[in-house]
Amino acid sequence: MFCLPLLLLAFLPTSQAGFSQQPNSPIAEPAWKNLNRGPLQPGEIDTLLEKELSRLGKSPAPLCSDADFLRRVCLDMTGRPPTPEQSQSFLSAKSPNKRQKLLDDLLESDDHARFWAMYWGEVIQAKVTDRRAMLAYRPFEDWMTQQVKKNTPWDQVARDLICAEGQVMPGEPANGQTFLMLAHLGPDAPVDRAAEVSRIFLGMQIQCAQCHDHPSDIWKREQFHHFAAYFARTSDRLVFAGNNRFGLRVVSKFFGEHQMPLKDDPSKSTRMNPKFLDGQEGPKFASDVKRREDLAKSIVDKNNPWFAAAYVNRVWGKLLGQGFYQPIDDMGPQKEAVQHAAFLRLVGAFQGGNYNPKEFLRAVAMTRAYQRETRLGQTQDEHLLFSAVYPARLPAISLWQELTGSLGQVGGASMVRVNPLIFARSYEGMFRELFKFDPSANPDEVEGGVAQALWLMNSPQIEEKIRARGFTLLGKILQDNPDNSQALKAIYQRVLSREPTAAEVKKCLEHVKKAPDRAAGFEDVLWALINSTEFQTRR
Amino acid sequence: MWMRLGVDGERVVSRRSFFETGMAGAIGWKAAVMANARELQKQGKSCILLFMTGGPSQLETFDPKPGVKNGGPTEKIGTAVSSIDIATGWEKTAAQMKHIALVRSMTNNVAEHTRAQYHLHTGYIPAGGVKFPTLGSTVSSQLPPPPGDLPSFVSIGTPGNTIGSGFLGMSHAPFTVNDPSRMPNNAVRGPGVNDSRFGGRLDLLGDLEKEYARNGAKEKVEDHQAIYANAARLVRSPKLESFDISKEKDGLQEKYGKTPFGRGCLLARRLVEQGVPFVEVESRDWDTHFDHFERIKPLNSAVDAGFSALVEDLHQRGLLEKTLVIWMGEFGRTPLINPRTGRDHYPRAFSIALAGGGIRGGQVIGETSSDGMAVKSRPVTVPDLFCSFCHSLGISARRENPGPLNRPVKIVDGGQVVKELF
Repeated sequence: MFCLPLLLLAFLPTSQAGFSQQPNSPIAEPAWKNLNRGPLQPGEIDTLLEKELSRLGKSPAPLCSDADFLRRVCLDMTGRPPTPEQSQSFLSAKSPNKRQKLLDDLLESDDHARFWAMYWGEVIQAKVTDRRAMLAYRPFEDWMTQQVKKNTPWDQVARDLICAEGQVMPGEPANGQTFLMLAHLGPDAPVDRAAEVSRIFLGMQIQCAQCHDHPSDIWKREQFHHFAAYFARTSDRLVFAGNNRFGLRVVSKFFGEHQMPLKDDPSKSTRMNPKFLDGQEGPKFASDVKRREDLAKSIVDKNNPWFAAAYVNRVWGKLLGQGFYQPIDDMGPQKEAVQHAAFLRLVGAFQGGNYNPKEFLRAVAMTRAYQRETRLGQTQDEHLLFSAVYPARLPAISLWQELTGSLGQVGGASMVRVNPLIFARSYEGMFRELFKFDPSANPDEVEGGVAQALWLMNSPQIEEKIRARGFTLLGKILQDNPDNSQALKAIYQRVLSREPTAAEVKKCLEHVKKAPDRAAGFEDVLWALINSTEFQTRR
Repeated sequence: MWMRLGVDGERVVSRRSFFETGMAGAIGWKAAVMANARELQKQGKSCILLFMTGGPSQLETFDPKPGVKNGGPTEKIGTAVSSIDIATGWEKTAAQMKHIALVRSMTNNVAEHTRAQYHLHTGYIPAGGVKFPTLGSTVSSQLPPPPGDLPSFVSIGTPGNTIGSGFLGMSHAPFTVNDPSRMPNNAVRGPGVNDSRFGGRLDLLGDLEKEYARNGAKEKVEDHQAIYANAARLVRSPKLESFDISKEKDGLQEKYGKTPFGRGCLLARRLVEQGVPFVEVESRDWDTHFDHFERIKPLNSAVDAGFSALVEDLHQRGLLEKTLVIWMGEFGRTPLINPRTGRDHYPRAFSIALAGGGIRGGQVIGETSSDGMAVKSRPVTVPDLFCSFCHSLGISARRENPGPLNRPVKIVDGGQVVKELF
């Protein structure tokens, strides 16, 4: 959470025992050599998954209903639940390829671009240690939205983020690509930048390799410091913008080398030259830009399967609720993946298709695996092996969209996005702050809290919106539907995007009957749905 | 509605079996507690953990080494106990030294923040598969809940930075207060929602949740409902105003210090006074890899005021004997000063401080070498420390909780009580 420990572990005895592989061949695992890079055939991934399930004696869950698929795919691709019109048209459509058609429409929407940009923003933001770094958050969201919209290949996105230059100024949207480099500031930031680049683009937490207690992979201390040396001349500076305001700039230093402190005496150190994880030497004594370009090139090189693997594992994990490797950003030569054959095939196809994000999303969403019902394992963290979809908690932004989608604007108009500090004071900003979690965390570890429950239970903003008065959602539904079961159906459709079950109808209508008046009874029903587990979960 | 886990004498009821038994279990706990003499000893016991996130330097707090190269410019000062000297900047704490025991011989080998914070909060090294509960959650599960339906575990500071309740589940998760100078947000019901309507809503919610639980999300629903049960109890609590530190005299507020940490300590005392068994107060930014000696001045000043005022105030109210106060961070800092005038992470030899809860104050346990690099006598490990916490609070360290798949997990694995502390 704070600065990286690598420099500091120096005094610990570093046992090399147990590191069986040579440090210069971490990516030479035989299985990676013969990746099938051809385009995926329909059903190919499912065949591989189901073969493994049947070998393990597990049976896959049935496919989910159209209503569940609609809500799931809308939330996953655009961060929003379906509108009543979308539900109407999708559920009544008879075309056999209506799921494909819906998916194509969603992937081309502006909401898709904005939502996935926010997702990547949160991936970076979750590790930000200095709040000033958030100056670059908004510009990043704008920049990333453009990339998703244009479907910029993932290797290009990686290059732009790793090689970013320029400055972000308050109120100016430019240079959002600097967010990753500016996410960590100060003298220790080169080490943090190296760790984050590895975590996000290689799916590997090489900064842990040092730890005497946690020798779960092959990385050696020197390897990490050689990696960090690519960022030896990357620095940051505050830029004053007048009126007590400041911006941030990525600064390239003209000289300076990365120093690895000696194990026995951290006041002394060894100079480290850039060297990639596979042992390939980087440019010695080169400029900052040259170093980072060289690193980006090594990362996206097709001989390095971890770059494609990191994307595949993360995005598949987000969509299915569980990754092949868990946590989704902690892979490595000595970590184990479930469903390895399907994983390798996806990695090959993503490489072969030149890192095409939308093509990959489309391929995943059209698998039977993605379209199955949700289940939990025997324990919450048991891996389902993609026999079913894991019911993950919705990200804050989706929950917010659900609330405003079903209740209308909550807490007054959203404020203009000028500055992260002002944004934080808008209701949406406060909500996102309260409900946020690290999108790289295992879904079974994401827990809510009492403060969140209190907000949904008691906040004046919610209480106002669930009233059955005139122009509110509920007021209108009750007016349009004099019949209670029709009104209930409309509420369920609006809030949970599905019809109530017979048992739910019975319980709700009994509650309404007991209430002092019809309006109060339905207000309670709406309150209960907003506060339910299902409302906060991707089912 | 189901409530917190019951205590059935021997072992804590698992969350799953509790969920299934529902209300019957909930009615049972009080009787179970009253029937057991050992449980009675725990009545009224509390713990306040002051956690110095980032890792505070032992050399600039409780184990100064003036005149030695590694000691840096830090001077030592005398305390109310003539045989004990501590670092300059801790004058107020020095005056309370007769209540405080120092352990200068803490030793560990975890030097990375996240893992060390986990270790010092749970007593366990992070290990695949088992999510160990943080100390506050363990205490919450072992001590009787406070009267008036206040939360059993309040964490004051940065939300999300605390380690959660792990396999004990959400009913023992911390209730976090971001800003101790304000009442917890949304703890008051809206107009038009009286208690009976509020109860009716909760009942309807619980009823509808059963449907979703049946459709493949059982444990998600259990966790969600546990959080809602805690939230609902707080909303209905007649003791809610315990969270309002503005009720305290201004002079006392000054004494604790009008800093986030000082206010947190004052709120901790108010909550403990009402019987809340565990409060954690966080102080951040102790990770001083550069400009160490300048950067720790404001940290020392805020924590010196808050810690000393807390100990004195608890003592004056007769609460100190029942309240264990722990001051610690995830590790210490390197005795060697780095080229940026910083100190780096050092778990091998560091200090912690304890007061109250039966601790014999005015003493120092253990000693480090003159250069501060090694523990010279009476090494104390993290499990030793956790055994001592349990001893102070009347909790059996060897009690087994049902972990994942009902595998029994000891509250503390290994370690011995540091007997000299008591």
